[in-house]
Amino acid sequence: MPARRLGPQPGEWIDRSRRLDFEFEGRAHQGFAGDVISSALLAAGEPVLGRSFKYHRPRSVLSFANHDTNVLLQTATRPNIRADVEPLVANERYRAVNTIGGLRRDWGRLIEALAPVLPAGFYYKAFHRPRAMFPYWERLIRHLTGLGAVNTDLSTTRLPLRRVNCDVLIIGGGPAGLAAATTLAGQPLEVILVDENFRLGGSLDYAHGRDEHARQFQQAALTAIGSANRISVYRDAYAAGFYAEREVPVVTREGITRVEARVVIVATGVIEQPAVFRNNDLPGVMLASGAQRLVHRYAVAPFTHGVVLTGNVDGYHAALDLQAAGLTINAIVDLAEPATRGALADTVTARGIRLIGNATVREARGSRGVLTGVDLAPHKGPPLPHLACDGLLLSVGWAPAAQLLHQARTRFEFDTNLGQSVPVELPPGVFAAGRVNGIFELDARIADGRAAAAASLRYLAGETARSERPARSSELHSHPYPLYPHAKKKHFVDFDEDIQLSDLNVACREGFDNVELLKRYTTNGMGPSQGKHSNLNAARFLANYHGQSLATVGTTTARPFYHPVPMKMLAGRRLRVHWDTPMQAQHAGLNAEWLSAGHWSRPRVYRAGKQDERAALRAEYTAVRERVGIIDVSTLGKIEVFGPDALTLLNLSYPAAIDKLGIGMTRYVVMVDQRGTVSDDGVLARFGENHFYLTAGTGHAAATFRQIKQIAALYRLNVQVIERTRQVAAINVAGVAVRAVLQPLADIDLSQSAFPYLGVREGRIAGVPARLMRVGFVGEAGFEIHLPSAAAASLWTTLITQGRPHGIQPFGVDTQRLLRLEKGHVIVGQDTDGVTTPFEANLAFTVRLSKPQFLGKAALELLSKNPARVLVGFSTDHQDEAMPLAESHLVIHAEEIIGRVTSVGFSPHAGKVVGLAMLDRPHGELGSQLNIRLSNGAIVPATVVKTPFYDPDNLRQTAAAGNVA
Amino acid sequence: MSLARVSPVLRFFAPEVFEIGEIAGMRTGIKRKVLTPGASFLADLSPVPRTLLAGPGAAAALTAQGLPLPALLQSAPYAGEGAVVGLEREQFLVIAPRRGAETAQAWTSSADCLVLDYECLEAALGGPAVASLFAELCPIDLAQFAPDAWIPTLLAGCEVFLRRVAHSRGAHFRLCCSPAEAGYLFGLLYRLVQEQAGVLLGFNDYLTAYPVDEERP
Repeated sequence: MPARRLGPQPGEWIDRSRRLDFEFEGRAHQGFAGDVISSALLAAGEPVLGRSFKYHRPRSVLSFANHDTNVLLQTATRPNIRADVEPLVANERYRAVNTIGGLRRDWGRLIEALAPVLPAGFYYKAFHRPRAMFPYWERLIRHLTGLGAVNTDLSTTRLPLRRVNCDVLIIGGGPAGLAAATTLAGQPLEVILVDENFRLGGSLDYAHGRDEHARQFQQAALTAIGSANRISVYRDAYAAGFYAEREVPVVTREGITRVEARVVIVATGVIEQPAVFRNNDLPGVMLASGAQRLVHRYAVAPFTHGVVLTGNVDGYHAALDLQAAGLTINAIVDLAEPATRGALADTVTARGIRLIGNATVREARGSRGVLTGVDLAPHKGPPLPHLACDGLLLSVGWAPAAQLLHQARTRFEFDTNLGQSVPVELPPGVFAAGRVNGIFELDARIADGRAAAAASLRYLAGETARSERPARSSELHSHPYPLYPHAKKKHFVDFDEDIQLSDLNVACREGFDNVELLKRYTTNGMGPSQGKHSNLNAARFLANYHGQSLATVGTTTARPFYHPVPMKMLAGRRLRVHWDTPMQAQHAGLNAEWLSAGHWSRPRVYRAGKQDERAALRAEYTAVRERVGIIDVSTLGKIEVFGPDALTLLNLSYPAAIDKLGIGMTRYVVMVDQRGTVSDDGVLARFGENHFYLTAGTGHAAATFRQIKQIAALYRLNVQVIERTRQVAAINVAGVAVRAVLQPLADIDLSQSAFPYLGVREGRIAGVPARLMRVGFVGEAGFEIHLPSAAAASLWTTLITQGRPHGIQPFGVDTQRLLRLEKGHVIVGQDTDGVTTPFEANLAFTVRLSKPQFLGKAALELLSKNPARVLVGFSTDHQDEAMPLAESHLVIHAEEIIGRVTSVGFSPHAGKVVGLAMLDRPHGELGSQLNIRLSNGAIVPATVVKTPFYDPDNLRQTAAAGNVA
Repeated sequence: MSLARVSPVLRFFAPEVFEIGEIAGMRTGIKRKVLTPGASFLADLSPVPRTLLAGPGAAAALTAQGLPLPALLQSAPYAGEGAVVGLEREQFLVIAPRRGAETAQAWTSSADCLVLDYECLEAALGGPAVASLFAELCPIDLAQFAPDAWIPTLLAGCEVFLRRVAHSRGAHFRLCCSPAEAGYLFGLLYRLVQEQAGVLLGFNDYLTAYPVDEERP
């Protein structure tokens, strides 16, 4: 095939002074700087540039606009290069993707022989039997499918994610987009203009390349935009999606920029659509607009003798334009009566172009995989002769590039005059302009862009009046049904996936009567082009099959991304937020094993050296029960409540009787939601008439804080609610020797008489200002020390040192949970669920229904009367390490589920496995026999017993324990 | 007896590289042993004493000490680089001047004014890398905020207050987050600053690079 570079074209994008050497499939070629790869290959005379996905049919340029993936290439470092829009790189070695043995030979083409047995959905029907063969078929299919290969040996490069805010984002740099931008150029607004091409202008460059008026407009617009210092232009970039709050990710070669705009003007134009007939995929068959782009931008002749198949006036214009560029147009085949084209028909005839009306191309014919001519079919009348040609240009209609508008929730209606969907109801701050808005004439598109900009200004000024916009085109620009099935098939609708009319027919016949189902069953529109060239024709087929209108059939959902975005653009930093308590390093130094608790990591158990886990847990347990233990409880929620209405707020927030809480004392409180469901628990401390401090569960701190703030706002209370969870550290020291450890460090009297159970004091520990609460979660005498985070690590170390003579031992969450289980203390979220009330969880003592008002009161009044469930203690002799009893195991009675285990563990004190279970109330009587189903289905017996399992009279945690020296 | 208070990000200051010492009773990296120039920088200012005053008497307490009353989410300077920040209604954060850190004012609670130590990581971040770094990690457009505005936002998933400091030696940012998030956030920022050929500065390095700004209006 001879080289096809034309002489210099006005406004061409190539730099003829810079030649670039490159290789394609092992053959050396030359292109120019400014070429894209496809233009350089066509200019070099390469007839076939790719192979199709399924049948490996030869392919070449179709849309030349990134609306198809006929030409998808690979280099050593990059897969799936879209050659139609990718700049040619000097000395690069390109090869086609998806070939076996190279592009020319490609043994994969033999698959086409199997086409009769590979209809749409074949893989849903085949390969099921024999079942053992499925892995083989799966491997084979995976091997044969897929496109470019990723080179995993390459080093990682990071592309930054950027965020930009602007007043107006204009998407599309064609006539309407340029007009909008120039209108906004003098305004005190930050404007961003995004266009897919290397240069602004859109169709001005090619469809109006010989129109002096258009050229003048373009030049003036570019000058205005270039001199406007508040307009930023993103060339060679595309808007990949439209998200809430008018956030649009703009993809450039350097990465993604997330643009958040106050106004978005969508001027994305239209996408030319192919006609469907036999062999419509042969190299040489292409869209007319693609041919014009090749000629005007890259000075490449896509053929020597061409035929235009058209369904609108645009085909006539294209034929005349290309003829003016020196190409030979043998004929125009009009799907309609040429007389309806008015003077254009006379013009083309006068220019020597043969005009054949009321006919279509029945079949494209080729030799060695490229076009050699077309067979025509008249709509009526005598047969038509074969036309020899090496180029067939399709100009049968357009689809709006409306994906972003759809994502923005624009409502569209089908305009039958225009043959296109048009936006009729746009969301606030979104405007459409130009051909995507159904306006085709150039002057009207420019006016529409200006009008969209004016409407944007009014919107930004807060005006709501409707804007005057140019009238939509009334001329039919899209043929309603350019689909011509052929008995011998090879009539392609989707070029990415090799989907034919016959495939759509199979799907419709099998009952896939919805456009979304049709898409998924056939994979039409699911390839890299995302249906840009195929969705409309598939919808036409479906509508025709069912005798419906195109408006009734509708379109498939347009999801981001507009073009596939390379994974390297999407891969971001791995931001996994984690929070540290100030003692994290100390825990690590003690060989802590970690437990995730939301953003926190907590020591689950400390294992010295290779200590057995059970031994480690037992050592921790024994230390707390017999000597003294220390645990980091900094993860507890901590909230300060202060002000004249502090008491009122807490009374409204908690069911407990807060009024009676004395200064210097604490109280265990449970929070419920509006439904009366337990949502959190904690300790409330009172430091003054108007000053309280409360703790919340590790996982509930944020929600509890929010809840209290909401109540404060709702009742307009004069109160300060300050969240301090992540600022204040907390350490719990518990056990009989607790006073012996703490008292020497404290400047306050820790004795029973001075500091009773549930008391709270402020003082200094080792010189650090701290708050001490005497609480007993683990069932021993204990003090919870709350102190500034910065001093916590030092205090921890000091306490370990001070406690060493008393056998102090750090203990982790596992031991803490066992200790509290022995005391029968509830963990909210573990022993309760999303519907548990205080009356079911033995927490009725935290509710004072006689209070006039509190969150959840109405619900609790009802729920208090007849609780459906009850949380009980149970014990069992089952002790099988291989199949232990575990939380969430079900309790079964007469083959019905009557409850579940919420907490369970071996109690060294009881010498057996004990637990808590939430049961249907009738089964919760003391002494009731339970059947608990293990993970393996086995049933183990258990007995409902009284709680707590340890120190039922609370003598240890409330007494003056501690051998203070 | 008084225990050592340590900056939540002390571990990032290697003793081989930094002189470690105390500022206002908190251990942190004081200065680099050898000052390495970097395009961008990150510094730990956590030792600067910060006090939260909350309650109906908070404003009066500030006024009584001759301190300014800022608007909500604004900071008002005092004594050179000290600042009072309006965090919420009747809630003010008093940030001691860096140079007066050791002699920061002592406040006491009263019946209508609660005084709390406001511990946090405070980091300073500047240089050419910062714009892209914030663009990547922060969801809001910082350019929309005036210098000295306190911007509550998320940075890499952490709740932070951001403040753009318009310093005559170069605009930069100060950010505050809780001590619990400090290790994660500071570590991330340090990594990103390093990626952009930036350096970690000690407390006094920063003070030297950005002295009290006499040129500011």
